[in-house]
Amino acid sequence: MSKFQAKLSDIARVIRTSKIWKSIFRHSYQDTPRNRALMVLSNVFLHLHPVKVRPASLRYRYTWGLGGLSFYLFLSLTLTGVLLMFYYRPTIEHAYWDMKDLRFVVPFGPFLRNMHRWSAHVMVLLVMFHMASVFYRSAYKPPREYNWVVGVILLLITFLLSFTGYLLPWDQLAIWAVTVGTNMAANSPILGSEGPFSIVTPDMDARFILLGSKIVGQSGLLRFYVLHCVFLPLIFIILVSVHLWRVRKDEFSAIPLPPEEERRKGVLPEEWVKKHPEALQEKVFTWPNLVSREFVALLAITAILVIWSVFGHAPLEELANPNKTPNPSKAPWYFVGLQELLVYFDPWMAGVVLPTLILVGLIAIPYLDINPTGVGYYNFKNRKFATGIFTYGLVLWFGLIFIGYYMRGPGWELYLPWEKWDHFRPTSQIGLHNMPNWLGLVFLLGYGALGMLIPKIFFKDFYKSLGPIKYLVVMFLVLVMFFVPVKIVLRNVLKIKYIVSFPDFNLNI
Amino acid sequence: MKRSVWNRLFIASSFALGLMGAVLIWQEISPEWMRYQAEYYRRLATVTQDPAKARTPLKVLQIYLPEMHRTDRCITCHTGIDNSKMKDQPQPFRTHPDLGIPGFLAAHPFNEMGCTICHHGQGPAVTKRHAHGPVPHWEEPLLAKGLTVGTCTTCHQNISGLKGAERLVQAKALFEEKGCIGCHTLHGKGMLVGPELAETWGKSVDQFDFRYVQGEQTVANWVKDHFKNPQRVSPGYPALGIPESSMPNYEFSDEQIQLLTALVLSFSSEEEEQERPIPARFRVAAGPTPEPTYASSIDKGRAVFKKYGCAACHGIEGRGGIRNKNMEPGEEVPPLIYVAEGFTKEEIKTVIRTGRYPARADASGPTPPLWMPAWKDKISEEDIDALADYLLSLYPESRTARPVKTAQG
Amino acid sequence: MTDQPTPPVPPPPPSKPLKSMQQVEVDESKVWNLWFTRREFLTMAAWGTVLAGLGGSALGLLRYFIPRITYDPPSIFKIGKPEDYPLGQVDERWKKKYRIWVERESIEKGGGLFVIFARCTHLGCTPNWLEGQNKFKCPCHGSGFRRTGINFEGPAPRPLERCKVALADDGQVVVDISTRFRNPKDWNKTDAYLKVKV
Repeated sequence: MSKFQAKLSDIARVIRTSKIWKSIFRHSYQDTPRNRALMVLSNVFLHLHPVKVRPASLRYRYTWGLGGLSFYLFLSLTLTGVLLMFYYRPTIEHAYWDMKDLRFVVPFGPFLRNMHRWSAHVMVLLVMFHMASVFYRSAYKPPREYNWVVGVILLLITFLLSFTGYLLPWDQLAIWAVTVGTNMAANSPILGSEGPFSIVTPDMDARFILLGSKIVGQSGLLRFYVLHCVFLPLIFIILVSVHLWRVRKDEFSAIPLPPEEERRKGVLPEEWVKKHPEALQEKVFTWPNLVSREFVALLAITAILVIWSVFGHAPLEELANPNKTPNPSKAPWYFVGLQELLVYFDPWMAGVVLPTLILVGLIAIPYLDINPTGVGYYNFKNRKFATGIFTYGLVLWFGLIFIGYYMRGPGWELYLPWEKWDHFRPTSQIGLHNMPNWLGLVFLLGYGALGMLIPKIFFKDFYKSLGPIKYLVVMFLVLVMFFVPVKIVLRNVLKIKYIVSFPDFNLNI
Repeated sequence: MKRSVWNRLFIASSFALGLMGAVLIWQEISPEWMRYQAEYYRRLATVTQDPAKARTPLKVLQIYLPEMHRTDRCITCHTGIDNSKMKDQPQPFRTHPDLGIPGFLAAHPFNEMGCTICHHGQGPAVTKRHAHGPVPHWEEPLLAKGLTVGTCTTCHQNISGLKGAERLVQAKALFEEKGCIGCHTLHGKGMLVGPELAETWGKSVDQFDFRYVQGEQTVANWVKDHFKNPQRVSPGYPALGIPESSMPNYEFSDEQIQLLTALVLSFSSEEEEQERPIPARFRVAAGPTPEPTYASSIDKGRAVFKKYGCAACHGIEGRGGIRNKNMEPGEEVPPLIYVAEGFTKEEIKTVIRTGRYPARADASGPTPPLWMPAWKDKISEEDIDALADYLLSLYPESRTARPVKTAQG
Repeated sequence: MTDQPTPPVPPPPPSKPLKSMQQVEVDESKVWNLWFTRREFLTMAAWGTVLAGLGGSALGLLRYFIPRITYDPPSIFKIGKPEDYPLGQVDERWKKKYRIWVERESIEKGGGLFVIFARCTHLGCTPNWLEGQNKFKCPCHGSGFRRTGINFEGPAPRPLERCKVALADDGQVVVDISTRFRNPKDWNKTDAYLKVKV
């Protein structure tokens, strides 16, 4: 060691043994087992993790880091969002022009705005994938049912955060996407002025409460701004704290996998673990093993988002103009699947009933799934019904999004994704007729009855294991899910618009 | 994943981040406008022989006009518009031209009016491409040469006699000669065969059909190409029964097309309802227009003919030649120069008052797009009388050999 | 003794003997003595980039808070031609809009033009010009200034500041209120004083 290096290490030692240093850093940083434990235990942020984890939880293919990355993106969005708040004024005179200022005269303005927007899109995508991943690993089964429910609520909050933020640029895209979205609220049954069984007028219905007005204007902008920047993030933080705490409390779900030969023999991990309980005791230090992987994962996603944000500019369309409706006017991509359903269902069905059933159905999953197999690893073979129905739902959801986003042009006409849009193409909405109501009722009741009875007759064990109540609920949700392609086929092939139609009640199916 | 894969991902991600950081820093250190402004100050230093000027600190310059809802940053690159010493420099360093009109620049101070109110373009932008356009989602790209005169009417309600707006006056004369108002409405007045002209420039780009338009997709280009060949640009939709445009192809010269395009722009500029309205104090009200006097009833009739755009269907000075698809006979609107042969003055006035729907040449074909409107309550009786005198006067002298119909038969 | 299984036949020696990195003879004078492997270098470079990135982000964050434009009223503006201002008078027409007095000296003194910034040097209030008493008087604490701006009564520690003036191409006076002159010694400079041909 040279004299200079010796002097440096002397100074370092003096600093390290000083009172000031020791008051802040309570342990040394040499790589010893004790220090590895203390790194996690004595750090307020890191001590959400356990000190040691099972090697099974290090496998990236288990969670793909989706939950953690979603949370990281939330933090990143909070940071970029707060920074954007220094230049953005939520008034209709200033909002759009402040966005232009961010684009042209604020240093790193375009980068921050792009980061915020692209991170938002990626976060919505990742939370959906995270939910799917949790489902496929059965990580919602007892004792984790409640955490799944909290997760579904977090999914809803993520959608609402993205939706409220969508309005803020105050351009044509914003105002019309929000018009489409808030019209869904107006079409709610009972609480919406244009829905079935309405008991409210337009100046006090659900839409009015959202917007503070009958139109999408200044009061709506301010409400959405407060919702987006304060109210929803606070709720999110509270719920995500519960969510993460529950993950710790219920123990991370990853289960050690049996060795190759056992797996080939068809031994399930939970059986193998019962025979080899010592496998559960095998643990490694969180620091550095888990933390380093988390760090690289967030670095990687940051790199992707930064590259995207430097070169890809988030769109800013023309100034919002309530007198000019673009054709087509599309909802944000995560809602455009529901907008696509509007072709086949009335607004109250497509915009309120079906989304509500989706949420209710998702929340009910842990309480309807009585199959205890598969917790902590991906299992498709032993949970065929569950994975089948869920996958069908996912494919339907993303399929509708794909159609609505890439295959709908002016007049909501069908175009192939590469086809040029023709604003003068004649409408294809001709020659539609309704089923006569008596036939429609027979059809609906028949569909319901057959749907309920057939599995009961042909899959007796299925019915027995669920019991009557769970069976009813499960089959109801399944029948509703399969009703969507039924309607699609009826309309596109048989040109049937409504199965039953009661215009006096605003009730058409 | 093996440890080495995590390592490689770490290294790749951090290098990607580092590279992007470098790109961001580069974009902020050397933006496009700085290069233009630095060049401007260098040239200014040479022209004024004051090397200190070349070291002027570079910054974004803007004209902020909250009353007009505009922020114009054009002067960031066009820094020399108010410096008369830069008259001989290339763009963007050149002084703003004064059109040869003394007092023009003083009457339009830059710091009170900005730039985009006359020239259009995207004021808040600081890159050439975004400021000039056309870029998607900015509906007012920079106006091409020769079209800027179309924005005078934003403030000047009366352009006749306005120095600098002579081309608009020329265009207006052409407009009256061709009788455009006979098919189009202008500020609500006119005929409903074609669309309202004052709404043209305010429309968004995707309300136009650009399939057969050459060049950039801007309203200006569409209007220009439409003047060149209305049928090519608006061929209609035969499958849907939408006919092609019934606007005649007047075979305008390029010069005429530029004049008329500027005129169409001026119609939109003078509309009261704008997306970003002008404060009232900028408006130059029209003076009282004197009641025109006419030498004779025929002159008055000629003015009435022009005012209501009869030429749109009956041709310039009633000479005909305007197609009317599926009209019997001849698929052409009848010329008016021979009305003296078949009609008495009273009969002419009756036709003008009551109008006529032409018969179809082919009964199963489409309805002819043009018809004679009933002008009974729209044109005053004195004007109808004068108009009939004018029409009778159109009878060509070369045909005096033919008998002319009189009231006795 | 049990039969030992025959040991495997060793592979034939390769034609050229392999040497590990340590065994290869190296001419020390020609080699760079690196104390890291390629992996260590890349890892350190990556960490360095991360730290540089964080540092750069911190600097970028600071730069973010300084926009390239502000919507403040302009600090450089034109106020008309010198002939518009009567000789020997303190003109108040721009006091409200730009917070300046435009003064022209009397013909005996040369008829030059200068601009005083209307901010009291005591605590920043806007004084008033009292024509009858031929002085600027601050209503806050009573500071008094001569028409030249020199303080002579009250708590003001310094004279009123003068602003930079110049003549533009079109003959108008250009005032720059962001450049001000405190020291009366500077007031005769061309920047603070405009000689006008009378």
